[in-house]
Amino acid sequence: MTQYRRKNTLRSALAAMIAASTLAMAPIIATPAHASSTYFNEFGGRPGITALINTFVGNVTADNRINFYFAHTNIPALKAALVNQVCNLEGGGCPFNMNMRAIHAHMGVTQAAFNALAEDMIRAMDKEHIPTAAQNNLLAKLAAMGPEIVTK
Amino acid sequence: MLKMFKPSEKKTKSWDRAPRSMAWLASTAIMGAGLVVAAPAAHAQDAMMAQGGLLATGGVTSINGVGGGGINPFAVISGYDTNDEVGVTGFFTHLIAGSYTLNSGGASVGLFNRVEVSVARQNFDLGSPGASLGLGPDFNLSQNIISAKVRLFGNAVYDQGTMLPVVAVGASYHENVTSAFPGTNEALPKAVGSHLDGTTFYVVATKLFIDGLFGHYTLVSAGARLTNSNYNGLLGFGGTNAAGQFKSGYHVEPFFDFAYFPDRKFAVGYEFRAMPHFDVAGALNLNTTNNWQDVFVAYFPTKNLSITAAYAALGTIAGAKNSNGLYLSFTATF
Repeated sequence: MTQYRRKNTLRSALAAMIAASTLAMAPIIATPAHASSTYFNEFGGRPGITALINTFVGNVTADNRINFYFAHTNIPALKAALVNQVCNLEGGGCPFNMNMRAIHAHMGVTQAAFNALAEDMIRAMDKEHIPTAAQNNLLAKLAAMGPEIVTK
Repeated sequence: MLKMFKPSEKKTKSWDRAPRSMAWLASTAIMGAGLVVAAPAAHAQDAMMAQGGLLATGGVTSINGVGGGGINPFAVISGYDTNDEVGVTGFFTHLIAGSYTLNSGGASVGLFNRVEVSVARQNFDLGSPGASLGLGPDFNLSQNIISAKVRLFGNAVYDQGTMLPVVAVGASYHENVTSAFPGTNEALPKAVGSHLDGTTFYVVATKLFIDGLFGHYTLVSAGARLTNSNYNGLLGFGGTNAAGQFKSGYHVEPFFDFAYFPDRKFAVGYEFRAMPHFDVAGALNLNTTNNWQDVFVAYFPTKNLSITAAYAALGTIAGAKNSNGLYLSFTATF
């Protein structure tokens, strides 16, 4: 009995240690999302990002779940801003300093709409054959903007 | 009653009992693995981001019907619901391992990505090995489980670039509906000195790194149960020791999950669940309960289906050591 108990205690302790060490690794795992990115080239540089944004905006405007948000949007200007933003996020050095919270303050974006947009981006990145790790790097950065964009 | 188990138990060599352990494992692993994986994955990327639900789609369900991994709950709320939506999910698992069969099914409702309420039914058919224990053919260990979970804080998708996890608390009430031991009017768990029904409480923290290891989705989840369940409640709660004293004492038992997505349609991972030990008299040897573990590979061909293979190690079960096995699970989400 005691023997089993001791084993159990040891295993529990081991489990706790595994959990603790894994959590300790978390900062390392988390770091890439905000470190300076080396993924710019994997997006195909600025031309690749421009192609991606064209596909992405095409997906969004065809997406009946969310396209009404952009009914009165200047699409060429939107595309230009998005190219700069993604280029900036992925280490391309493009200037981008728009305030996400201010831009979206009156749009009434829901979580579902934000998620639909993310789905359109994933489909666009798939179509443009962006490598998975590069995709996830951008997705993580976009997801982190959720609280600034989603107001409903 | 207890003694009735002993003669047959002694006649059965440990290797003869292995399939039984495997079955347990299977139930654990399968549901765990299949659903476990399903949880993080469902349609991995698309579903994760698209549906509003975090990790997954509606398909993330543990063996107990709770959104999570296979054998452990996650802190996320099941279903597709966001903060202004209600999501419904269902799961069904069928397992055949040697002489054993496991059927488990249930449903959950996620409310506004805040509260999850779920029900599950588990039938574990002991088959011919059960018959050898004097239980008759197709004897089932059965239980109904009603669970509730509340997400306290955190958002699995939005909280990137930070260590903030999603944290939730929950409880599961198990109603054991296993039949009476043949020739008596006492349900099997009671016959081995356990209480039929019980409640398990837990707290869990789950962290998803979208840009995780090697730039791939990586999920880490850890928590602790406050429980006195025997084999997840299939053999009741608490136990009676050789001196005839009932021990209902709750134990704090840690649990841990890790999942990695090498590809958006595949996940591999590991689960650990510490189990309470009780000094239960009789041949079922509940005091030898070991911690449960499984490693899994899951495939998500579509948004609504997952196929999982798991290798689970349930340790010693009722005296049978090294209860390891390989299982397949199919999970559909709606």
